[in-house]
Amino acid sequence: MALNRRMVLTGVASALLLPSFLAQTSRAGEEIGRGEALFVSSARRGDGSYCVVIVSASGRVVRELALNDRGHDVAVSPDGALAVAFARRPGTFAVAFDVRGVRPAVVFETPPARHFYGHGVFSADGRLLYATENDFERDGRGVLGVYDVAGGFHRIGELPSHGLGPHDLLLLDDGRTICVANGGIETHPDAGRSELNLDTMRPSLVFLDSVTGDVVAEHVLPQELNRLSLRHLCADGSGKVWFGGQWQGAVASSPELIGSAGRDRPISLVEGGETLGAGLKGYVGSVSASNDGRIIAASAPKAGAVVFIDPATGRVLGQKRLRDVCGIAPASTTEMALSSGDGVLMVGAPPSSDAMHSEVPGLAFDNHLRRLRA
Amino acid sequence: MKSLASLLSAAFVAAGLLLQSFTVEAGAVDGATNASKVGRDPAAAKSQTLPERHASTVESTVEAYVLSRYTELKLSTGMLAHAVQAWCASEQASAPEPVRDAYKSVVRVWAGVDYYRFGPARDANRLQRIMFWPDPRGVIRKQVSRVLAAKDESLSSAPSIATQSAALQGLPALEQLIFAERSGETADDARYRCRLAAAVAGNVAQLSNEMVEEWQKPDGWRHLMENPGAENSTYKSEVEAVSELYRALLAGLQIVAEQVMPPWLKAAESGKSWGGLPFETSGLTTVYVGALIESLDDLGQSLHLAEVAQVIGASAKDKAWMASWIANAFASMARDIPTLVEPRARAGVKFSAGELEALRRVKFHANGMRQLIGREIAGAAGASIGFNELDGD
Repeated sequence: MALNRRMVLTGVASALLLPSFLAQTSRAGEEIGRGEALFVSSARRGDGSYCVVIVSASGRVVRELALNDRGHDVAVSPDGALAVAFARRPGTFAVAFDVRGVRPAVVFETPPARHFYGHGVFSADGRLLYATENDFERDGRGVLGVYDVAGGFHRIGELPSHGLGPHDLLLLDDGRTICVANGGIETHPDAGRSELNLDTMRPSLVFLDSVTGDVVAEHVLPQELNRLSLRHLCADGSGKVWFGGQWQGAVASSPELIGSAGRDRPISLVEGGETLGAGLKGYVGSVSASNDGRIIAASAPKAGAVVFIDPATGRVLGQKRLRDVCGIAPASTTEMALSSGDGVLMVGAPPSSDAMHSEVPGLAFDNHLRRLRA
Repeated sequence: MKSLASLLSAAFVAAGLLLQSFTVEAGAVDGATNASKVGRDPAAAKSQTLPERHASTVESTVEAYVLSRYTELKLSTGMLAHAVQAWCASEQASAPEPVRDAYKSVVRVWAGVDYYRFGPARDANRLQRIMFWPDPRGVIRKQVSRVLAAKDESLSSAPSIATQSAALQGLPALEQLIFAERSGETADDARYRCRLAAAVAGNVAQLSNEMVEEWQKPDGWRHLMENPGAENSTYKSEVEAVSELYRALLAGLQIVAEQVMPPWLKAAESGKSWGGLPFETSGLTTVYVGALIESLDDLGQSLHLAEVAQVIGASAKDKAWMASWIANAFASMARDIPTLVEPRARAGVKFSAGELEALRRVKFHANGMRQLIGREIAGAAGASIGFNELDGD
C-alpha cells in the first residue's frame, strides 16, 4: 500500500507535494527492510529545529524529515509502508511519508476550526486514518477526523469522541472498534496549551464503532479520580486495553496512574500505591506492550523511570531508570526499546535491567517511539 | 546536504509552507545527529554541576523570592478584602479608589508568584481558583453575569464561593465585579454586587493564607525544598529542588512569551480593542506583565544566571555573548513594558509601527531567554530539566 501517482496528484489540491524525491534512490530506502530493528519518533535537533527520525536499534539515524514545528506521535500503516507524523497540540499539520523514502511525502492539515491532539491510527485495511482533534469553536468537544489515505489524505468526515481532549487512540483486534482516551481537559488554541477546566474534568475511555461512530462502551472514573487525565493507550496479548494517566492535582496525592479496561470491563487501576503514583511524579508519558503482549511498559519522564507490568496479574515486574525517558516501543518478541530527551536509545528484555545503550548526540527524542515493520 | 537542507528550509518558510520534507542519504545527514556512540549503559551522565551551590541557592531563593512573596500576597489580599467590605458598608455603587488601589497591589504581588505552579499553588487547584486565565470562551464574564442576575444570597460568603466553579472564585471574577461597567444597575443590584465581591475577595485572601500555611508548616513546602534527600517524598536531591526553581523561571517566561504577548500582538495588528489578556478589564495588563518580568529578573539573579552564563562563555568562545544578552534582555523588557499600549486604550485604532515593535521586542526577549535558559543555562548550572519532562503531552 504505497502512495501511488494518482493519489499524490489528487492530494495536491488539499495537501502539499513535497520534494522528497530529491533523493529518490537513497541508501536509506535500501536499508529499510533488512537488518536491525528500526524505530520512528518525533525529535528536536541540536539547533532547536524539529524533525521526524527513523533510527536503528543501535542508535544510527537512517533518515530524517524536517518539521517546521514540534511533532508528537507517528502512526504506522498496517503494512508498515506508510507513516504519518502529527503536530503536537495545538498544531494543525500532519505529514504522511513513505517509510522507504522513495515516494514524495504529503502534508495535510486539519480544517480551520480543528487542531490535532498529536495521535492517529490507521483502519485495519489501511485505507482510512483516524486522528484525535479538537472542535474548539464548539466548547472543545473531541472528534476523530477521518482521512482518506488514497485520496491524498482528504478529510472525509469526523466522529465524535464523546469527551473533551481526546488524546491517544487504538484500533482493537476486531479491526473495527477504536478505543479513544478522552483526557477530559478542555483547551483552546487562543489559550495556547493551558488547561481550562481542571475543576470539572471528566476523563473517559470510549469504545467506538469506527464505521458507524456508535458508542460500543464508555468507561469513566469515579468522582474522586476525575483529575486523572487518561492519555495513552496500548493493548496486551489478551486484547485488554491499558492506559497511562496524568494526575492534574498535587503530586503527593496522585493515585496509581496505570490501569486497564475492556469493552465489557470497567476501568481498574493497577495496585501499587505510591510507586505507581507519586513515585512516577503523577505523570505517565507513554505506554506500550511488548510484541508478545506479555509485558506492559509505562514511562514516567518526570521521574526518569519506566515501569514494567505483567498484564495477566497486574504485578509490577521491575523498573528501569533513565533520565527524561518517554518513548517506548517493542523491539523484538521479548525486547523493548526506550528513548529519552537526551538522545538515548536503550534496547533490552524487561524486566532484566541489562540493556543495549546508544546515544544520538544533540538529538532529543520526543514523547513517542514506534517500531517500524522489518 | 546540510546546506541544501537549510536552503530548502528557508525557501519553504518563505513560501509559507508549514513543513518541509526531504530525504537524505544515510550517512549524509547532519553529523551532529548522525554520529552515534554504542556501548553499555553508562554508570553516570557527564556532569557539569555545581552541587555545593544548590543548597544555599535553594534556601535563599525560597526565603527571599518565594515565601516572602506569598506572605506579601497574604497581606495584600487581606487588605483588599477589608477594602471591599468598607466599600459595601459605604453603599457606593461603584468601587472607590482604595478598592481599586488595593486590587492593583494584589495584581502586582500575584505576578511575582503566578509561575510557581507546584506545591501549595497546585494543591487543591488554588492556582486556577485565584487566577482563572486564559479564558478564551469568556466563561468568567458569563458566570459573573449569571450570578448577578440571580442574586443568589447563598453565594455571598467566602466559604460558599470556595465551592463554586474556579472561574467565579478568583481575581478575574473580582475584576469584573470591581471594574466592569454596569449600566442600568439598581441600588439593590449594586449592593448585591458588592456583597459578591466581598465574598470573592475573602476567598482569595483565604486561599493566599492557605498557601502561606502550606509553605511554612513544619513539614511544608519550605521544609521539602530546603531538605532534599532519600527520605523526602518530593525532592530526592538538591538537583531536583533547584530544578523546580528553574522550571518556575521558565514557566514565567512562557506565560509572557506564549500566553500574553501573542494575543496582545494579534489584537494590536488587527486593531481589535479586546485581546483576552490578563487583567484587561481593569487596565492592569501592563502592571501585571511588568511585575512578572521584574520578579523573574530577581529570581534569575537569585539563581546566579549571569554567573553561569559567564562560566559558559569562558569555556566556549562562541557562547560568550550569552551573559550580556541575558542582562540586556531583562533591561530591554523593563524599558519596553511601561510603554506598551493595551488594546482597550486604542478602541479600534491601529497601533503605530513603534508600538508594534515594542510588543514584538518583549515577546522576542522573553522567548529568547526561555530558550537560552532552558537549553544552556539550566543544564550548565547543574539543574536537570528534560525535554520530555518539562513539556510533555
